[in-house]
Amino acid sequence: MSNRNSTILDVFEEQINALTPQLNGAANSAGYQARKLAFDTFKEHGFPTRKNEEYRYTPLGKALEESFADFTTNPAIDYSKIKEKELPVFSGNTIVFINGTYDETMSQLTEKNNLEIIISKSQKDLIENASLASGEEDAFSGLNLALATSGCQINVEKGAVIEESINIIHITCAADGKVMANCRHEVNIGENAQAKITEIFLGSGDQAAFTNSVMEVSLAHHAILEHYKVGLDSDHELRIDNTRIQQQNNSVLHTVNVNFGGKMIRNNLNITLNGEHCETNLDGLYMPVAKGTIDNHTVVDHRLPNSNSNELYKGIIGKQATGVFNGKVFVRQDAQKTNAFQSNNNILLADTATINTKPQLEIWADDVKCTHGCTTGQMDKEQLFYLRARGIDKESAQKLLLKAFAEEVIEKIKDEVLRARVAAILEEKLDS
Amino acid sequence: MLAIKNLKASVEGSEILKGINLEVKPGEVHAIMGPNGSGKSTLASVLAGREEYDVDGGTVTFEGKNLLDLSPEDRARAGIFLAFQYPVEIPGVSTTNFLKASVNQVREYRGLGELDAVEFLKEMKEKMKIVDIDQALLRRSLNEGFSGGEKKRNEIFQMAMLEPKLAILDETDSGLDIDALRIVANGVNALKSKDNATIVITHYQRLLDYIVPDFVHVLYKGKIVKSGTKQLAFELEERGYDWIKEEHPDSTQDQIPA
Repeated sequence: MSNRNSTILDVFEEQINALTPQLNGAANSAGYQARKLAFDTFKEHGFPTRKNEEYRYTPLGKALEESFADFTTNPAIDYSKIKEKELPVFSGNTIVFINGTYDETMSQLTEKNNLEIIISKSQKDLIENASLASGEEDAFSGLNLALATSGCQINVEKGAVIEESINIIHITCAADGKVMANCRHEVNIGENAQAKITEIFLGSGDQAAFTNSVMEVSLAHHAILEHYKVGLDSDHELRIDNTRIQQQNNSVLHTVNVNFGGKMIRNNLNITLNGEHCETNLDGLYMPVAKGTIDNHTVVDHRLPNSNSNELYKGIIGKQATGVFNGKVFVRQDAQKTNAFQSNNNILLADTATINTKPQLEIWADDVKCTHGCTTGQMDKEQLFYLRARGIDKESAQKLLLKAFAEEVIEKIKDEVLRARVAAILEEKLDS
Repeated sequence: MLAIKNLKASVEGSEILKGINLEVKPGEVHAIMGPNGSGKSTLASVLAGREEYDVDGGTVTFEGKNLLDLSPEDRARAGIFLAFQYPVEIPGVSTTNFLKASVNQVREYRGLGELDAVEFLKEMKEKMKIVDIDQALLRRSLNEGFSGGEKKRNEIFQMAMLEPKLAILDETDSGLDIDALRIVANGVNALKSKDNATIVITHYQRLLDYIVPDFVHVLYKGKIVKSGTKQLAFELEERGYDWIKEEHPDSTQDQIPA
């Protein structure tokens, strides 16, 4: 559709219509129905606007309308334009998606008998692998359900310990045209199993890109998961990530989400504690630059007693950039003896930088320990003066302080290789 | 080495230093005493280059340079060291962590080569002995959870590492018990030489039992109203500051912030 008068809705409708004939045989499946319902719902409600409290600071729909109303198809992949050198070298299973399509050449899958990795290369695969079954409330998740054409399903068997990180790399290469990518992943960590998953979002090219990704995670009893996300988006990237995690009794989750740059990045992280004695650690660092926005919406829903959650999100907001933090913690009536801690700290680098932060604790149980704190400020002048009075130039002193501020989150990454890599990226970003 | 002439300074529009004159020569120890709010800490801050203070008049020459033209970092590199009255906490930055950058930037300014990691560590170990400070402390976030004594020992340790020409000790004795005071004072004395000088700012005479001054100055309402030898410090200890106040009722009535 190169029609100038088309709308973003026409663009999506066109994509849906193009996908339908490929679903031969699956048209009667529950997945197909879910997909159809999701798109109908999306059409009815459209994108959330600024009036919608949840998307007040992140008008992704408007941004899409502006950049993608003339979108037709993704350009052919030009490997020479992918900034491979920016990719950390991974030794474990690595699943690569380029512009929303599974890429066999760059991926490396090594078989393990207690680990199953199922790759979906088409919407039909996704339907057959039952990854498209769930209903969707979020408009973007619904859109993803309707349009996703690839993804992976990672199943870690009961009792298995997978030491090497399983890596999912999303590359958008918008050098030769605009790019849209919809991926949908599923992760199931079996009872008493342990695994590490690292997701990298890498963007390049100076054209607009839109990535809409969904990940459903389930942790069975006593499962332990380290889950890392690193966003290295281009200045033209619009990206929304919907991650939903379910935790059963005694499961442990460490999730760290680090984002550098991008035009408009939205992270929806929803964690539901459907078990007792769960441990949930969720940490994030966001450094929007130029006129970019990074928005983190997190939900921790304590439904049963005796669980702990710890949340630390930190933002360094560049000159004209915007950071958003919205952290909801629900402690349901049954969730007695819950410990829930949340903290959000921000440093604004200029008067023109913006942060919108909103901690939201809703507590129905009466025997709980919950705290939340939020700080926002400029760089500490006393600290800066102290370092300068020791002979360190202003710029280096600022960098030292920002690095220390950000490192509190980076230190939560337990995987040494990734932690070193992210620390190096931080250093680079602070230099620029 | 240091010549302060008719120095006037204010903060947020209120005048605090009202014409200070002071000359410090290599090898000398000067004590500046005075009641609370007389402007002692302001003088230290202005010399170190704290930006909240406005210099309204006068000159400060340090080794032939106009000190007031230099940034705080250049003052430090040129050889001024301020031991802070209230050393700031910096979460996530350890002493070891910033001091390497600090020492090397100072060395570069002085035309000396950079210290590599091994040389730096060797230097640190040597200087740690001077104030009996533990390496574990130097690896912790700066001043976070440090006791008063640990904070001040760390200040003097940094002084030892940076080898300043002029050290300004801003109420280094405040909050220290006698043992900590002795360690800190011994550290300062160990670093003394005929080429460097020290300005000791204090409210009480006790510190001067350990760091013996060549000159004692009394700062009152933004001016040095009396200068003498260490005898003056004893006199102040005995008689308090009231007689100074009585001798100088002419100064304006307004309260001077600390």
